[in-house]
Amino acid sequence: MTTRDEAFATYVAARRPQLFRAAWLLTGDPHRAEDVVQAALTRLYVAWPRVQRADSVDAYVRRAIVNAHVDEGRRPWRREASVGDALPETAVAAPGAAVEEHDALWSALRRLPAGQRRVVVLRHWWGLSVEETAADLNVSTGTVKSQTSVALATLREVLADDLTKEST
Amino acid sequence: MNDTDLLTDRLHHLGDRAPVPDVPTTDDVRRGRGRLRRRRLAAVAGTAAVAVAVGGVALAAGPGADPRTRVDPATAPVAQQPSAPRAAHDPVAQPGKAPSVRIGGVKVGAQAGRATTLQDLLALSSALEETEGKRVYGLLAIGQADTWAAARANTCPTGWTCTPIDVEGAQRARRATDGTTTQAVAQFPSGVAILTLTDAAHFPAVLPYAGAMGKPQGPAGGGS
Repeated sequence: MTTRDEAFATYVAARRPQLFRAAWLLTGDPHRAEDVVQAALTRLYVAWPRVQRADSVDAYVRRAIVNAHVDEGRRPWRREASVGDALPETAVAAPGAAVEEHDALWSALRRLPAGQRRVVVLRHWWGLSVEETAADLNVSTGTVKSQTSVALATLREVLADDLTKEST
Repeated sequence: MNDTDLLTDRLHHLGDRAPVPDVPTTDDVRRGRGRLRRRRLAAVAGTAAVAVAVGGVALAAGPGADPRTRVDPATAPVAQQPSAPRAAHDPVAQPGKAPSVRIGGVKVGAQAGRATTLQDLLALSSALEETEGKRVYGLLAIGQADTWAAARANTCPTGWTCTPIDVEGAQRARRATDGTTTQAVAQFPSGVAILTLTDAAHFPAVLPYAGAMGKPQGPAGGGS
């Protein structure tokens, strides 16, 4: 194994689960998520020396995940895919949370258009700022703000139930 | 907690439930290598066309270089020979003259069981591209040596910056540059390959690896 292979393998071993989770939230399907992760990591391997020198591996792979998701959505057979046909396969809930409320958020997330879902995942799961999200998606900050607003309005119904439960 | 904080919290809980597959990292490395190999093949196909247009020059053993460095022909340093093909002398640049093609060469056929392979050159050129970027050079030369010592790869002349580089499939590899000319040398199981690239009109009389440039080859079809 070369130095490049070793450094790449070490990075992948540490970050692959997190990348898969992001892809899973974006695609809503474990198989498509794996496709997205594989595509992103393959691109990362090719660009590894350059991005490692620039100390921007995380940023590069995050953009690669998003771009792979965009590319994946452009494939003709994906355009015909129905929404909401793949619920989480695992039934293990996070500590202190009921399965139902996660399913409700999951379903609501999957109903969002792909662009809004990308904004939600980048901003609220990856924790990026409006500017960083705009740079990753190659759109204006205004677009990010408007898509976040629309997405939140859609998700608010689900979240409102959670807020109500919290307050009682 | 407001609704955006709540969304962040809920998304992380949801992400924690993702059915993360147990995929060996070696699979990702293998896929990456495959893509890199395909990319290099495409790049070399383009480079080969450029190399034919520019004209190849064989590397020769300079004074003091190990005689086992194979060249064709290997007679004298470039300073005592006609200059390498230059853009100003290129018939392509002269209206009214039919363009010709110059092809140089170095014997790389299996001698003592060793031969530079296209795969070696792919890996070496790809590693150089990673350090140099997608630059366009005036002159390009390909060379071969039997051993690391014959290629003078252990030395670094004054005025040159020499650094180790990572070349796929190579046991060791180094790059040397003086800002205008860049050389890369790599030791493969099949032998030692040397690439030389320069922005100058001529190769320098003295090079870090292999010592000096050999006699330029004449135009294809005879005559020089």
